[in-house]
Amino acid sequence: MPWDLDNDRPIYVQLMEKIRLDIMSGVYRPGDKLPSVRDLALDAAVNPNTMQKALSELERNGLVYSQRTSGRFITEDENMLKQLKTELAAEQIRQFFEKMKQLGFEDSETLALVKKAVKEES
Amino acid sequence: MNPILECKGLSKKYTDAFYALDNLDLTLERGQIVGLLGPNGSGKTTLIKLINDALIPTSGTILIDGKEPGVETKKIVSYLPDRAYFDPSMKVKDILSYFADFYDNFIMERAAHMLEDLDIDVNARFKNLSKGTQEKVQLILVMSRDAALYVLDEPIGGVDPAARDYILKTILTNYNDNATVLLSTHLIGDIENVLDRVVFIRQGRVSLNATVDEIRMQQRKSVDALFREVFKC
Amino acid sequence: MLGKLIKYDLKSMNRYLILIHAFLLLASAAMRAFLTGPVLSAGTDWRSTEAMLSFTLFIILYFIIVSAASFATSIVIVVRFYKNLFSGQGYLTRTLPVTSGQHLLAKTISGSIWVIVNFLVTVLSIVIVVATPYVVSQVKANNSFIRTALGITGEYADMSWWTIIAILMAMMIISAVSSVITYFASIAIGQLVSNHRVLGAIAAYFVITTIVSIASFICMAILGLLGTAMDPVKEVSGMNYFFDISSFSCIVSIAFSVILYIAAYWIMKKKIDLE
Repeated sequence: MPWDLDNDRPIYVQLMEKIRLDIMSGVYRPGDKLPSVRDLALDAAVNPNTMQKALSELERNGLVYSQRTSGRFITEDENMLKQLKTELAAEQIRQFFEKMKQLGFEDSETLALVKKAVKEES
Repeated sequence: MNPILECKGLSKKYTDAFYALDNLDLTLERGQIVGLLGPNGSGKTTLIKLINDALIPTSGTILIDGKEPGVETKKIVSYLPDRAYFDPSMKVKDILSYFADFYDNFIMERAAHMLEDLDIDVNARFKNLSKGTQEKVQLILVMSRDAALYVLDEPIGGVDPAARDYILKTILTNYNDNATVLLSTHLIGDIENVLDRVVFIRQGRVSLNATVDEIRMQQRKSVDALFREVFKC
Repeated sequence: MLGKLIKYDLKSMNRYLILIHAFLLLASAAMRAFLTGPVLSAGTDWRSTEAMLSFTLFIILYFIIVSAASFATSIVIVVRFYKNLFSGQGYLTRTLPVTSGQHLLAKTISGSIWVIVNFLVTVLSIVIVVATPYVVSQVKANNSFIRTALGITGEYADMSWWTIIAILMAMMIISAVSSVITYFASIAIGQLVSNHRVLGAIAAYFVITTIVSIASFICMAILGLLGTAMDPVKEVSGMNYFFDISSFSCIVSIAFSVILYIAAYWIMKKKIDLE
């Protein structure tokens, strides 16, 4: 089943996002071995070169490291993972506030609505 | 390694007024999946025929792996035309033997395996297969050759979405890092994610040659959207 | 490579031609059975109307079958050449790692093989029909008379039947190859006429055969081969004349075949334009 990708943003960026998400949601745990570039590309239905680029970027960011012949592994650096989690959350929040602004809400209004929603849920 | 395809000043004229290709320059490196995009009459088919030694250039040069089109290049170029081209009375297994007989780099196991995956009876006569199955068989045979350049002319036109997925998967599975796949198609949206780069052809010349991500980053739109813009009627 | 091309050509043509020729032999056997049965056995009054009528009918039918087999052979060869190289199948055939010269040679060889086979089977068929015990005994008895009547006299008097057959075979092979090359050259020339390739081929065929006929006629007139009436001085026994004519037509065949083959080769090499 091909990954769900937007067609107006660079593919490699979206691939990175998906893999980061998989790491966060526990599909890949720290220290897990990633499937090969080819297998990932096949799964995502994208060009292996593009997948390669995405993985290289993740490697550059330190989220993933490669061991010469064994392949690529998720980092076990707890701090890095925590940092990633925070970054991803911040991005989601930013996007959310962006959207709310488009709908005409001020940040303070948005915050109030969020608190209300959380209270109602519990 | 040298580029797999080099076209320099390539021209092909059919009448004095009509140049199907007009001084076309194009270089393709190895190990890429390249989309050849352009409207009908843009010169795509002419370029493909020139690569396959089915036409002779009027002027300019075209080199495949550094050689002019001929017997040696045909060994390393695997071509899928956009039409049925097998003898309809042949059985699938006869076609397999035919390919094995003439192409040293034909990998029988790969073809047999894919045919099995799709439940295609090797004893069936080609003409008795459904159109969709015929197209899949043709693709399987072409992709089962270990070629340096695959030229696929409209491989996904006229097939249902599931078959389309299978065909793209087949291309991805079978292409090796040193081989180049040149894919000519109208259905850009469906295959964008699979392409490394795209080449727009217009009125016999290359009007754009960039990677998919470059286009998306610079134009902030999909290749499909850009195509519609560039080739607006 | 050449062998493989020939193999596949034959495979494709065999499908139809083996059947047709098997049928021809069957028809010959039936014909023979008919002849040695009711008609030509010593007892039948073969002058009766029924006998004459049925005899004539069968002969006509047999003749049609023989002609049909021969015609079918030519058609199958021509269709194979055209379809395999110039129709949709051309996309497969012409992207094989094979030169156009090899394609032309392979088809010429496979086509010639079938023309020769067709000829041999036709001869065999006629022998089956004609060589009834009665006829064979008559021929054996009148051997020398037959030879004189055919003009196998003078310097050729001692030529054995086997030699004559060998010479005829050689001529037949030359003629077979020549006719195949003529078909192929016609098709190749037809390819030059963009929108009417088939019509062009047919037209080319008639033009070529006409030119060959005219050229032969002119040469024969010059060489005094047109008949004893035109050149009474030359001593012409049947066999003498036969050899003159035959060697002349062989030379003409070979000369034109070479020219046509080169033309076909050149066209296929330079003017390839798959539809």
